[in-house]
This record gives sequence, structure tokens and C-alpha cells, in this order.
Amino acid sequence: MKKYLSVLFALIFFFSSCKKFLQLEPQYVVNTASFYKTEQDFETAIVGSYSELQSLYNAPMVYIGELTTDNAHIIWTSPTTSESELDEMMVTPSNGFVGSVWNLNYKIITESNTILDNIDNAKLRDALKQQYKGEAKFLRAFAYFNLVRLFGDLPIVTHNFRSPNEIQSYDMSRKPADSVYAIIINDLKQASSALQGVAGLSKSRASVGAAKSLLGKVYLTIHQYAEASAVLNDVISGGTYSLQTGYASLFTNNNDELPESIFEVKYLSGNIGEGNSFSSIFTPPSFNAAIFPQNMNGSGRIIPTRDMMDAYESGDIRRKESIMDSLRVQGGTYEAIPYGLKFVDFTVGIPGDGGVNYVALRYADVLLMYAEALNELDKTDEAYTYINMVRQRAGLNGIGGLSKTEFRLAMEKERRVEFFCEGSRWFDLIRTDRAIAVVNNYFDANGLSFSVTQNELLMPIPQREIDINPDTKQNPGY
Amino acid sequence: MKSIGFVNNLKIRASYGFSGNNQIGNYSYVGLLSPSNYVANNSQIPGLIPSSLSNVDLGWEKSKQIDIGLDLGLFSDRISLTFDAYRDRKTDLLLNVQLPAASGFNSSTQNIGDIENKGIEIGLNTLNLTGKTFTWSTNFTLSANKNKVLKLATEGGRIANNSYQITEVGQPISSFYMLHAIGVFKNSAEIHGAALQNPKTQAGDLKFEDVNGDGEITSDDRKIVGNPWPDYTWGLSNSFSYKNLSLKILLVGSHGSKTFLEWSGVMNSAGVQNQLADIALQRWVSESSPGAGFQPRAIRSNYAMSFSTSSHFLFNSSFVRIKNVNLNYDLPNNLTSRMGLGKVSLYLDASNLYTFTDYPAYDPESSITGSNVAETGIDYLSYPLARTFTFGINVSF
Repeated sequence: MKKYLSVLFALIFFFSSCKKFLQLEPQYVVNTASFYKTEQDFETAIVGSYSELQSLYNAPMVYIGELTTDNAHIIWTSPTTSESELDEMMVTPSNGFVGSVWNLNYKIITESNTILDNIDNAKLRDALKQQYKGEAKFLRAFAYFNLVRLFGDLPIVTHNFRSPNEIQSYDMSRKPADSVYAIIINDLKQASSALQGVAGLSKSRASVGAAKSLLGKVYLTIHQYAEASAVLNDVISGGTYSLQTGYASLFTNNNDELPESIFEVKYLSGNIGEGNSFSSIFTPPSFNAAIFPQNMNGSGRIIPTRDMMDAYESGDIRRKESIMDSLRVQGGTYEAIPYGLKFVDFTVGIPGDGGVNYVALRYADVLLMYAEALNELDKTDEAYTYINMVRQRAGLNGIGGLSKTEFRLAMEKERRVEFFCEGSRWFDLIRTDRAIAVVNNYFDANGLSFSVTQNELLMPIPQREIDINPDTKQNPGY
Repeated sequence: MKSIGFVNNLKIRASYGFSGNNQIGNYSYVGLLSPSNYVANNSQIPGLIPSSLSNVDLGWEKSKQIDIGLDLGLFSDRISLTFDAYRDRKTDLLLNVQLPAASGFNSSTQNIGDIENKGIEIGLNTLNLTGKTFTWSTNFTLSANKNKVLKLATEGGRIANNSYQITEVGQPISSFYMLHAIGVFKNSAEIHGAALQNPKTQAGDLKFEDVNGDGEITSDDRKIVGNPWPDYTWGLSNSFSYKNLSLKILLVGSHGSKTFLEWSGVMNSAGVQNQLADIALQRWVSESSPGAGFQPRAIRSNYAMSFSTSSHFLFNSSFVRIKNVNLNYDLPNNLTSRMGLGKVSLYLDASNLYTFTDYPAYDPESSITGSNVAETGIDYLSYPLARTFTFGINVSF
């Protein structure tokens, strides 16, 4: 009897283990079940997530930040519908750039969620666990901040999905912008404490400075000026960053790891799929242009308006370092077509292969944001120091003796000329509630029959999302 | 059993089968990662990002088919007929389902429910003339299929296949679900009191059906406006031969399907790309020249939803096509044997000679996704079908 029992137990043991024995994970394709285990896995995962920023800034964020405003217009005669919609401020739910921004930011959020959900069970040194958590939270906040500023209320997802059923049963309806901001602020606070003590990382990676600078921008956007000034003051008094002596060097080849840079998106030429399209986007579409190797021509998508060119004070060195007034053409003569110089890689003659980095957060922004917060807190007198640091670097005299309202306008102008082509203008005008006045004034003054209306301060939710999930409600007016 | 003189073949068939389909690509059940490389220290470094969603519940699609058939031969097979009626019930149907982008994924393959296909197939072969010098035979096939979704695993019994198509219980799979364009506003009087897609809508813009009757046109006004499945398809082949000359003509036809022309770029009259002249020239130009009432005015922005997904781009893709014509001449035997050859024939062959259709683009049969039933019936800049003429000589020794 005993013998039979042991045979029986052996059989039960054998058959019960069978299922596990038969279910093998494929070993030669990387899959989510076998990944997220080692330090190398997490390094590769976080790098993959940062690389999404290359696509995000290569076109969509810069198009939306500049083309919608008085800064820039399209001079190519056959723009796509998505491009002219931004230029004419008549954005529709089928707009491709709006769709890309939505998709890419949610991809970053998913990638962060996946890292955060898997890291606690993985065998990593504690210090690295902290670092990757901090980086993932920074990226998640970064992405939600892009989305909430553009779209308002959002579907909130803070965990990764492992099956279609989980998605099916998840409430994907849009939640109030306030709850999104709560997540952003929480993530950035946790990121800045998790990243404390992490040293030696590139500026293409999250850092305490990057988290705090972004948090300052978040507070400024939701008009919490005391919190904004506190966190921005932290960045300034930390002394980690300083203004670059040559303004132009921030936007030309080899702009890696500069003292002014806080967070940057890396690009690399060499035709290996790591380049950007800035050279083509920012320069004229003339077929006889002679400004690039092999006389590559630009595409004229984001070209400074006359209004932009006239916005600089005389003597402002940023004018000639940001905008070229005329285009050199083959034969050595010039045509009166202006174009932007920032981020353009004049050493490469292959479209989409520019190697100049995009500086997403820099110290001049921190100084100007801090000055803006101080002015809003009725500390205008203290604010001059910081705005004047930026003006002096540009070769201009300091300003002083302005009222709070006058200071706001001075700041609006200062940010416009400091950050031209950096995708900042639309967000600045939205934050200060000036988009309707400024952009419509520009349209009127130039005899353009376009306009920005109140509802257009939020972009339309991509039509695809509404089509496949009726719980996603469109923003009003679209 | 008494034999019936003119019937030389009569057979009744019945079959039942159970089969599976696992045509879903490898590793669809695991979440895969794909490269997303980045830059550090002026060189490329590897990065990986999740590229597909895992689905541990993924399984085979099962299909139960029942078929009843009849084979009939009359007058020594001068007339032969085959007839089949079938029903195919698929359970755990595999379908690529679109996911909200906020999930981080675009789509995933899922077992979504049950679907039924039923239909008939008829084949008729007749030898009309069987003379010594002249023969004529005809082959005719007809098939009609109806497809219906019986059950879906998802809430509400509806799945979005893509931005144009849904799968809904009680409807054919991949039905087109979109705004229903019912013409163009001919003048400003027509705008007055009409349901509008945008307050700025003016004469010349598309007019849509206000399905929910709330006085404005939004995505809530979408409805099922057709499906990509033909009601029936047929083929007719006639072969003639006279002495050494033979002629074969094949016609095919398909009726009742719709195709979505995913070509808004060349149909939008925005002037930024090449246009289909037939359509662009019919557009609304002014109240005095309102065009054919189909194509809206030329504007660059999309606020009037002229380029949005709507039945404006959905066309009936029924057609009749002269698929193939083949003319063949065999050289007389006495001539070929004198040349020391076996058989020599000359032929002229023409394929896709002509298509009778109202479909405005190149090919009413085009569909970008091939056999993917979830996205059948979408024409995205597909190449036109080539018309081929072949002249050939066949020589055998």
C-alpha cells in the first residue's frame, strides 16, 4: 500500500509540475516577462524611455510651441493640413501633431509605469533602485505636464497594463486637470529626493536640478507663486548651473553638458537614426540655398515672422544669434528670406540627420521663471536682479522702476526673444492668459483672417481616442 | 432504383468539420519589447521599450463548419452543376483590437467573440456546342456570403477595429462606422437651422446627418454606413474553339461591397497635394456654381470636417471586370511536322482588360490589409491593377 501511495504522490507531483514545465518563455525575443530583472535591464528600459523625447521634440512640441503664435509661420507653399491648422490656429481633432503629442507622452507614461511596477521585485542595488525610480517619476511628470497644459483634463494611468482585460475594465475617462497636477507635483518631489546623491549622470538624464526646475514651471503654470519661487530659489542657490557666456553656443554643434543646460535631449548625426530635422524645419525651402553641405534645402516650416524679428531691442545679441536675415544662395548672392539659426546643424547635408541637442530646460529659464514668480508675489524689486542677469548676457542694460503690470509685459517680451524656436511661446502665453490678445493682435496687424478663441486655449483630444473609446469626451468647441 | 435517362450523375454531400486558426504571428501572448536607441557620449546606446501588450488568455480561433452539397450531371455531363450551402461558426475569433493610446499601446490581438458566416456557392458548367469544328462551353460560378457577429466579449458588444470600422453584435464584422455625409450645403439658406459641425460652417461645406437629433454634428452622430463585404461575387468563363483557333473570355463581378478611400490627401481639395481631377472639378465653388453636390469647397483647415472620417470617402466598390481574354492559334500539324516540331501555338493574352465600376479610385478590389478581416475595405493609395498584354509562342518538340 505504501508503495502505491508513493507512486501516486510521485505521479501527482509529476503532472502538477507539468504545466509549468511546458510553459516556456521564448528566450530569443525580449519580452516583458523575462525583462525588468537586472540592473542592465532597467538601464536599457530608462534609456529607451528618454529616447521618446527625440521624437517628441523633433517636431510636434516645437511646432505647437512656435507655429501657433506670432513667433513663426510657414513659408512652404504646400504645407500639410496639420501644419496649416497650427499656423492658422484652426486646430482640429484630426491634427497629426496633436495626435503625436498625445501618443508619445502616453508612451513615456506607460514606460515609466512599467519600470516603477517592476523595480521593487527586481534584484538591484538600492542606490540604483532609487535612481531609476527618480528618473521614471521625472519622465512621467514631464509627460503629464506636456499633456495637461495642452489638453486639460486627462485619462490618468499610473500602473502598467498586463492584458487587454485590464485595459477594458479600466476607467479611461478624463479626470480633472487638478488631479493630474497633483500627480505631477508628487512625482517631481519624489524624483528630486530620490535623485539626491546621484552623481555623474549626463544632463540627458533626470537630476535634482531638472526635477526642481520643472516643478518650478509646474507651480508657475498653476499660479502657485510662493511654491514656485521657493523651489526655483533652491535651484539658483544650489549654484549648480550658470549662464553660458556665448548665447549661440547653447544652440550649435557640440552643445553637450553645458553649464547652463539643466535637461537636454540628445541627437547625433551620422545617419544612424539619431538625428533631428531642425535643420530642415527652421530654414527656407529654397532649392538654390547654399547654407548646408551638398546644398541641402530647408523646408520652411517654422520661419520667424517680421513681428518676431522686430521684437528684439537694438543691441540685443540674441537677434543675430537666433535669426539670419537673408539666405545665401548658389552663386554667392543672398535672398531676403530670414530663418532661424538655433538647433540648425550647418555641418550636415542629410535631411533629418542634425546632431545639435535640444535644450529642454536651462538656467536662463529658471532665472526668468523665478523673476516672474517674485513679481507675482509683489516682490518686483527683487525680480530685477534675475531678469537683468539674462538681459546682460544678451548685451542689454538692466531694467528697473516698473509697475507689476509693466514688469509682466517686459517679462513676456524677454521670454519671447530669449526662447525663440525653443517651443516655449505658446505655453508662456497660455500660462499668462495672454494668448488670445497677443496672437489675435498679430493676426489683425498682418491682415490675416485667423483668430484664437477661448476654447482653442485647449487643444482637441485626438479623434482616434474618441472613436475607440466613447467615454473620452472632446474639449468644448471642437 | 429506376434510372432516369438524362441524369448521369447525382450526388448529395454533407460534411461537418471542426478546425482551428492560429494565424496570429509568433509570441502574440507575451508583451514584446523593441529597440528605441538613444545617445550618450556621442555614440548610440541601446534602449528598449514595450512594443506590444501581453495577453495570457490568447488562444486558438475555432471554426465549426457544416456543408450540404449537391452534384448533378445531366445529358452526359453536357450540363453539370455543383451546389453548396454552408454555415461556418467561428468562436474565439481572433481580431486586432484598437486600444486607447493612454494605455500605452495601439492595438492588441484578442479572442473577441463569435461570428457566423453562411452562404451558398454554385458552379455551373455547360457544353453548349460540341460540334466537330466549333465548340462552345460556359463555366459560371456564384457565391454569396452573409456574415454576422453573434457575440462579443467586450462591454456594450462593440469593438473599434480602427478609426473607420467597428465590430458590433448583430452586424457584419468590420462595418464602417462614421459620420454620414449627406451632401454639400448649396447656399447659406440651407445652413440656417441645420445641424452644424462647427459654428463657422458655411455654404460649400459638407452636410452630415444629425443621427442623435441634438442639433449639432459631433462624433456622437456616427452610425453604421455599410460594410466591406460583397453581397455576392461571380465569375463567367466562355470558351470557344473553331478549328485551330480558340478564344477564352473570363468575366468576374462583385456586388454590394463598400470601400473607404483613405486618401483624404488627394480628395480634400485643399490644394496642397495633387488632386483627383474627376472629383476636384465637381467641387462646390460658389452658390451659382455648386458642383455636383458631393465634393465640398476647397479649404485648408478641417473645422468643417471635410477631411474627417465620414461616408464622404466611402464608395460602392461593386464592379464587373473583363479579367482575361485569351486567343490561341495552333499551327496545323502537317506544317509543324514538316518543320520537325511537335506542336506550335501562338497566343495573345490580355488580363484586366476593362473594369466597369463607379468606384472613383484605381482599383475597386484594393484593400491595404490583405486578408486581415479587421481592416478589410480600406484603400490607401494602392497601386492600380496593371493591364497586361502578352503575346507568346508555345513550341513543343
